[in-house]
Amino acid sequence: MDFLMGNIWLWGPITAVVIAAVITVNALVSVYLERKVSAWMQNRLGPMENGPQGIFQTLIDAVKLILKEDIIARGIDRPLFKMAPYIVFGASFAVFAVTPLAEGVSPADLDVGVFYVLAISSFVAVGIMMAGWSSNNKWSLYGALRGVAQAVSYEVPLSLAVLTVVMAAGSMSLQTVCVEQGGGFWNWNGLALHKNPFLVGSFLIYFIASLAEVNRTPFDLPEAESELVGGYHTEYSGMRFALFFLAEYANMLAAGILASVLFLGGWQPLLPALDFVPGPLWLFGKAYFFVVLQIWIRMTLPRLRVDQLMYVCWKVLVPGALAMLVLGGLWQLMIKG
Amino acid sequence: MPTLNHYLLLAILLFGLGVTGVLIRRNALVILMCVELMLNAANLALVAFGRSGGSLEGQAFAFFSMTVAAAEVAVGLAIVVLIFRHSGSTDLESIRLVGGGAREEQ
Amino acid sequence: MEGILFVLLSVLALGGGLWVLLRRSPVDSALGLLTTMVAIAGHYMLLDAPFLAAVQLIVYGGAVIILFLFVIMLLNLRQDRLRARRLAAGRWVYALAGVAVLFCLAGIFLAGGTSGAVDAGPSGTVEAFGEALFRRWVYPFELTSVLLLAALVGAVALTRHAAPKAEDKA
Repeated sequence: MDFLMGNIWLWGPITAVVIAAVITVNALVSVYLERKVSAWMQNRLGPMENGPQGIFQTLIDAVKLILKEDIIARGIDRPLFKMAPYIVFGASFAVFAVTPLAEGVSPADLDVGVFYVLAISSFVAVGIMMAGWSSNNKWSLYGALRGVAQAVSYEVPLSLAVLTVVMAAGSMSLQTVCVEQGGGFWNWNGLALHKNPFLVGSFLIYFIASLAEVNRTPFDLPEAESELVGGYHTEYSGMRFALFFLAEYANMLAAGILASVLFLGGWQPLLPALDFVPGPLWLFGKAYFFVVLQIWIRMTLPRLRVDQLMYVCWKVLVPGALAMLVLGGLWQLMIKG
Repeated sequence: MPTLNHYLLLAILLFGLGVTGVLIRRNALVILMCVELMLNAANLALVAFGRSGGSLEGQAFAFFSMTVAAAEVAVGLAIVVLIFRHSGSTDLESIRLVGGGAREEQ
Repeated sequence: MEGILFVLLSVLALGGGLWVLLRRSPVDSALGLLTTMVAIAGHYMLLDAPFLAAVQLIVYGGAVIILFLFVIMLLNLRQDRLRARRLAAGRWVYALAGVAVLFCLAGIFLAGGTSGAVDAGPSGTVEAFGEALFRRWVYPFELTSVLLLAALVGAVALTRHAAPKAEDKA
């Protein structure tokens, strides 16, 4: 209870504003990064016109998006349609509340941190479903059904992979999970073969499942442009579309942050000697490593079919995650005592 | 500071809403939702009791009742889907199994 | 602080419940239910049961409501058909019965006369709850897994026969 007490009236709004700023800046940076990295991989230049190397391109795009007319077509369920982007955005926004920034520093160090993240992010599916249903459009509805089926299915291997880490750390608090991985990169869960080799398998499963959770290629079926126009946000325009857009990039960053906290030590430096670099830099550096990895995978792999999607989840990832959980638990009991 | 009484009052009101909903609504889906409402009211009362008694038993009970609720929804909705396939409606009052399936009411 | 939160969450919970009851469209009802669930999760936070709050969010917000919405969309219930008959035939009698149940409960509550503050015991940390769950309640806990498996098999078996439709929903 004490995290809600104290200076909540002071710290609550400040934290909220800071998180909102981080999400906005993240979207600007990530979009630019995505366009530049993909251009580089395809031997193009990418945006070059506005500013040196086109760095102001996304800023201008954002202004354009805000100034655009907000169209609500006839036959749309207005209240639901208007509410959906806020639910999606709110859910991705709330996830950032437990980010551990440095030793003992996090907006809210919840006892149930990891579990809170999983619970809140499951609300994205509700928003997606509302958006798809209220649009009164077959593409949107199909996008939403796919998106929700995918989100709900991949939550299972994701949670199981996370559970392996929770078991190894003996805590659900993200802060404690970070502290446990101190002392150099060989102690990070995702790399520490001597600590618990099965965490490495969990790392892989977590990363694949998180790609599906944030609807990135090869799991971008909910918004598959070539089949579904734009999926659940086909009918959205202007500011509401911008909210979906922000939420999507925020989710990418959140998946990166969670991956780095759980498997790559969060704010822990690469080597103990590099302690002088502040924790947030390490955390965001690692998180953006994952963002770039997501972009790289998008440029490399084609999209899966729906049946392949379900096959990968239920017949590969879930049994794999269960095996990692059981073997990791046995290792914890037998080897570590 | 809310006391145990406040929580119980809230639970009673929620439970009453659930009962009324089950009685007055005709859509099978909404009736299932109202059953969920009642289960939640009971859970809230359990947790409040557990907290005031200083034990974790209320929480454990609520936890188990949540899993039961999840199972109940899964099976209940499957049955609703079956009813819909059989009679083309989720309206419980238009479903008459005796006398040949669904009856369209004017 | 806690009082304000309590009132706020209670209003949300009851409002959501009323929304479930009174709205025509089942989608709206489902969203009312979602509001109530989230508010009750907030109450669990106030009652020092953070783990249960997270379970509430993940089970109800992430699974039950989604399942409801999925089924509503799968059945594609037409709004106009629902409009004509939202309430049961003897609605007023039933509504009265519902209110009567409410009064009975309130009567029992008043006659019983519970009292006392809610924050009597030790705080319900995740660790303490885990200890309780896996020591004292370990058999019920294992039984729930059997129950969930049974529900899973039951739901699949019930809706199985129309294979082509069930296939793409997986």
